[in-house]
Amino acid sequence: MSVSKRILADEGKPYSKARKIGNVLKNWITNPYNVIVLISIILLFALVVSPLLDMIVTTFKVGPKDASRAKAPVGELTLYYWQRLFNSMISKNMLYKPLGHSLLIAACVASLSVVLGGVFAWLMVRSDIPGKKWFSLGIVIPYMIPSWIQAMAWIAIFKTPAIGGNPGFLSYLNIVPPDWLSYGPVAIIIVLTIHYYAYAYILISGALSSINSEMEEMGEMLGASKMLILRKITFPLVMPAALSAFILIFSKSIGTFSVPAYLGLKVGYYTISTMLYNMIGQQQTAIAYGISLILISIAAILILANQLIIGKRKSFATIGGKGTRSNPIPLGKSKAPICVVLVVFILTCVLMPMVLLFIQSLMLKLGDFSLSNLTLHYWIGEGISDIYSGYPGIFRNPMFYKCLANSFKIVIVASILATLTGQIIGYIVSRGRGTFSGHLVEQLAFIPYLIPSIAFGAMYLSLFSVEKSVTIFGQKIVLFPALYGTYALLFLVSIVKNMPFSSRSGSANMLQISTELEEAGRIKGAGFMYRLRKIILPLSRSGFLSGFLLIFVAVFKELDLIVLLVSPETQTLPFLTYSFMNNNYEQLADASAVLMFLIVFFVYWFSSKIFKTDLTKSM
Amino acid sequence: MKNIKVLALALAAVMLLATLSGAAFAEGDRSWAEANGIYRTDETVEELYEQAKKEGEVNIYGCTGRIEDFIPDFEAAYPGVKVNFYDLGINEMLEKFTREHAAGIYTADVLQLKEQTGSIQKEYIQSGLLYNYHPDDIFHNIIDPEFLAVTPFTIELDWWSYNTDLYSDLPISSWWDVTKPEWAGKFIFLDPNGEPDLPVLFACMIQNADMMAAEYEKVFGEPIVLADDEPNAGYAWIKRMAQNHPIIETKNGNIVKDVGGAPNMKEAPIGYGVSSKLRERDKQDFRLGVNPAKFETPTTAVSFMVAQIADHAPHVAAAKLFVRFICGEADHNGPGIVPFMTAGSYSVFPDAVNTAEMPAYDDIPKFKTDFDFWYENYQDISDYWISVQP
Repeated sequence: MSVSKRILADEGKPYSKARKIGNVLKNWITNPYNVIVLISIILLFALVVSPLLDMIVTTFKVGPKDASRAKAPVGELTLYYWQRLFNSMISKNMLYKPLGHSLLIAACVASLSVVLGGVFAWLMVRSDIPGKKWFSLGIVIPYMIPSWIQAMAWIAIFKTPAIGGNPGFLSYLNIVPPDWLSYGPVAIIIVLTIHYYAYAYILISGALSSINSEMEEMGEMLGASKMLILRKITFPLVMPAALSAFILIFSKSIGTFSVPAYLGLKVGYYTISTMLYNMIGQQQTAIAYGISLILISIAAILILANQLIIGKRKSFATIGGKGTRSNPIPLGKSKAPICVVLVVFILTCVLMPMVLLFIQSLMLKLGDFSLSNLTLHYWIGEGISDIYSGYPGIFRNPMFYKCLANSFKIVIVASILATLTGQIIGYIVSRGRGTFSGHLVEQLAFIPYLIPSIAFGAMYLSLFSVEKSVTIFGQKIVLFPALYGTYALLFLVSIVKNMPFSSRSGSANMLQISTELEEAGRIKGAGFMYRLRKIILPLSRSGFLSGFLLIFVAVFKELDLIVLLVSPETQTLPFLTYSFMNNNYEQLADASAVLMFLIVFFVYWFSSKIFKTDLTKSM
Repeated sequence: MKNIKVLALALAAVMLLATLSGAAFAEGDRSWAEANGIYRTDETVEELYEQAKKEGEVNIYGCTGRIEDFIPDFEAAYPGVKVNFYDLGINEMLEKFTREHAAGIYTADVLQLKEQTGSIQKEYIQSGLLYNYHPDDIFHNIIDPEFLAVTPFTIELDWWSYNTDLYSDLPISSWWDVTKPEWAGKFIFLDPNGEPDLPVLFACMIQNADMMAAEYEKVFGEPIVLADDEPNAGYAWIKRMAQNHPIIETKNGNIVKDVGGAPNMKEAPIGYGVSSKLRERDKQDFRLGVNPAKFETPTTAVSFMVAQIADHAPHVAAAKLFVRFICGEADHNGPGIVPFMTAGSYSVFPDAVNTAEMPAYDDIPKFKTDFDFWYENYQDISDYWISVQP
């Protein structure tokens, strides 16, 4: 009765305010886009913002160890920690100087990487350089190796006698490198650049290859010179990718711990991340969180700047309705020298570290490069009690197989889920450009990047070690289940931590799909799900697979993030490698590092053969 | 204006959250230990084994891989009791254990770690998070009854190592030598920001500043003149050493490697680190020499490897068996202690046999460690170290 009455009433005053609001509300709720946005925002708040809040609170509260120094009871509100950070006798050496070092390193690494990666990207995508298949494979290899393994290799080559120990490769050849090259900022910048340029390469070549060469040809037809085309057409089009590469690399290198630790600590060169790690180690949690928050603010400012720049531009939809075609640009005379430079670069910067680690894994005693010192002991040998506490070669070590299986389990589940979430967030961000929700989701998804992995792991440990629930109307609602010691926690932490990556990949993927295509579907009456199934997904498939590969590689080599969360049952391969390193079983660490690399390389090669995935299309 | 409002709101929210989540620390609740017979030290091995078999396993959080060496022996001696060994760094271990305990997840049975600063005793044993287990037949005979504040099985010291291919004896004879220009950049210390070894030594020097001042005069022939930021001779040493470019290593294993890790090194720094790494001389043929008695002043603080039973340990009897085993059982020479009886480790039990070639424990000049002094000052000491970095 009431229904018919209402219909009648509505018919009576068709434009009533209530009806309008009702309709707007109904439209809003039934629009799947909004529902996805809402769910994403809630989840992101729970998984990203709440741990962040917890960090902030910790820095304003007297910790159990500091009651006497802060002159306040435990749990009391205090500015003690911030004062200690910004204005105390240790501020200069604990905060300002390391921060200066970090900013310098991050700025150098990010700029060098973008330039290097950009040049490579242009060569691989745009030019007519021969052997692209092999070159592009060689160029992305550094992405497959954890950067601390590259630092290991750096030391193996450049170690000087002044530091002592077994000689580095160059010292063995009686070429003693200067100390400033072996350790300290120069070494850190070089090693990190050799690692991170691959990120820039992936991002920029993705953007380059999605540019329809018609745009450049148009310029050519109108009589523009090559430089003018590059400056006025190509650069602006790859600018968003180059900028986001800069930011990704900047914030990654500012938060990276292991490389500055290997190459800086020995000579007393601290960065903000090694300082942060120290503070966590000394259980000065509040100070550590304070430092993390400073890192987060820096990165936040960067993102804001990035959005100001990109936001002002028009969107760069480059997959149009028409087919893409790309005509390579001839290099002419410079082709041969460029090839030589590339080959030398790949041989020395990319392959040599891995080869050297492999050779080291065959050396019974380190530093002795003679043939008689070669052995397979660290690969297949049975344990001899005098060498490394009787550890067998890795292929005879049951622990190795267990860690290998664990690694695969975690990496497969986490990468699938992470890629899916990334594409969803990417959709929101790309379609919500300029809207508040789009901005919000983009920024929330980026936060995990700014929190150093080790701090992130610690946060998740405290968040999920005990069940947190609320009771509403007698109904118990679990907010955070107890996940400590489970694989689920490792999945979750890997997914959330890689969200900036996967969502970048997702939004890059979605940004390329012009909204015109969706609009066309809409005009024809296609619903959201239908459009998703018939337009978005097919067009984003290759991006999806490539995004998956991107996360796969990232998760497979992850260490800092999970080091606090693994239990012996859930140990992974990088963890095993790192504990070999820690126990000074260097050759075992080398062997397992080489294997890790081979696995990632094989997966990469296999998927690019079979599924035609392309990391360069992933972000 | 709008921004200020938002900021104020955010601050208010933070404060509210802060007051809501006050820290609650358990103050030494030992009821679980009483109820589970942690303090019973008269059980025989057979009685413990009977119960341990029912428990089936024991979870060890340890800080040294040497535990792995005797796990097969333990499992052979007590069939049916499986050892799950978690190899962790000490800080990581305590972090993990404390968090698990706070969350009511009781995994650990025994924590094997190092007591250097008194923190195990003061923060963990006194608050009832960890327990001592001193079975009568094992701990009736110990070199110093004061050690029983914890459950120790070996003593570790710190000392200077030198490369025996390059030097016939320790090339320095005083702490002040490493502040001289000729040693700039040629000596190694363990990172004071990561490990407590050096901060503890700093504390000893600050506490014995008069001794450091006298030593200075002996080395340089004139009394020390303190700068404004050097409150006493102990601080002065810290600052002058810090500015003489020490090589900082994060692992003790790397220190001995740098000093003598390869044959025929043409150059090598000297390094100050944990005594137990002298074993690499015997195991891996490292070219390591030590001579702690060459200093006229004390050269080291004393620290212990300890095995503590965890509060709410799920396998109490097996945990007790494990502690007994790592102490070498009643005669202190069982397979559990053998991996530790290597060069540079000293047993707390006078009858434990260690045949390795090394300086006699009594000949090594040692600082008397004062945990209370350390506790009051460690933060200032570590701050001082950070503030005097060049």
